[in-house]
Amino acid sequence: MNITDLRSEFTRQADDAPDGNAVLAEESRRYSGRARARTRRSLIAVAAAVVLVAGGATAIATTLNQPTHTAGPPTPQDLVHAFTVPQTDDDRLTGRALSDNLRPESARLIGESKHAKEWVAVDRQGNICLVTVLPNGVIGTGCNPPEEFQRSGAGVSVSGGARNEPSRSAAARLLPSDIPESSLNDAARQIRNATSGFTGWIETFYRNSTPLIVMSPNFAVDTGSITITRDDGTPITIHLG
Amino acid sequence: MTFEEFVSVQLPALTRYARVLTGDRQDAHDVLADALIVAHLRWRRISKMDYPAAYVRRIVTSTFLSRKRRWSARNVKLTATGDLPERAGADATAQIDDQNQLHGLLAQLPDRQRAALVLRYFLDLSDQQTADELGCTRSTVRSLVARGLASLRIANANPQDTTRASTGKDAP
Repeated sequence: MNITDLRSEFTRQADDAPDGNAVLAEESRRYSGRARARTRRSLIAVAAAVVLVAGGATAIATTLNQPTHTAGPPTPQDLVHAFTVPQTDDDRLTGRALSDNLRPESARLIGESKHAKEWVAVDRQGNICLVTVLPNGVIGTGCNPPEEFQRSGAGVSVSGGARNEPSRSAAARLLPSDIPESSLNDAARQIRNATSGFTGWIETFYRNSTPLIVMSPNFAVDTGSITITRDDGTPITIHLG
Repeated sequence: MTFEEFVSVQLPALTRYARVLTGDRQDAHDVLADALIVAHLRWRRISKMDYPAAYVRRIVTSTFLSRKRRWSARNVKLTATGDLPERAGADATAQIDDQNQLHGLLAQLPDRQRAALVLRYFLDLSDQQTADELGCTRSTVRSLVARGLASLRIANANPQDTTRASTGKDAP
């Protein structure tokens, strides 16, 4: 073999390149939360001020603290116990992490470690959102409507970093609150087994009975999906990668 | 130029580069998506550069090199089992055999050696440009290329290849 063969092999591989539109769709999906926070900071301040003047924040907070429903479609507080606990100063989302589409008074801190800080919040369309903030300031938001959240939770994978700094990343999965802590531990065990021998990290949180898994993104991809059980014994399949 | 305009022009070249760099379609997809997020976040600054495409390509390269553990986990070689069909003639399969062998050897190369070979022989960058891309010295590039070629059982590079400089600085 010679250099010409090598060039031919490279060309052959290049001709098998992935679909650019699919790559771009993936990039857009993961970028969107970050982009909104970045480009509309001034609008966020104005919008927040308007809500406070109109008394909307109080009304929304009251709604979030109402007792859980017994009939009809699930509400965020049905599905995420953290919403039933009053907001504290630690729960507040500030700065760029507070997208203009999120209800500030709904934010609850549900996990914190050296790898990432995680919040759950409700957006203005009523979706349940998971917000990940990496130590280097990179932010990602993933949202699901309550019906979809009830089926599979909500997840977000975030990666990035400033020039000349190592890139940071985290993949987080928020689960409905009818997942008991024992099932959360089972999920972590399944992920560790699926990635045995790989380098990476995984953490679980159960703050205010809100189950959350945070891991290095390669763990999520390499695991694919897992199945655990809810409080009532029914299975729930969680797609991680 | 907006980020969207940049991507509409450069995406095909970037996907081809990411594919060759990683040696795997799915890995190329992942690396490129990660790299484009970084480029998107920095676009205001990148768009003012003389060669934005070269800078974004460098992001792709660094993204690939920073994720090497994942690659080592994914590069699982599958070995065919069962009886192989009887060969009709050596000439008909020799080229395919060489291609398969080269493909397999490439998959086993360390990431930096592979990246150096891709930059030198796919993008036709010079040693200096390759060194700039990888953040190392020219002598390191020569060492990476030499060791990579040796691993591929390509004994002697064409002398012309070691001195050629690229004029396509802006094209991944």
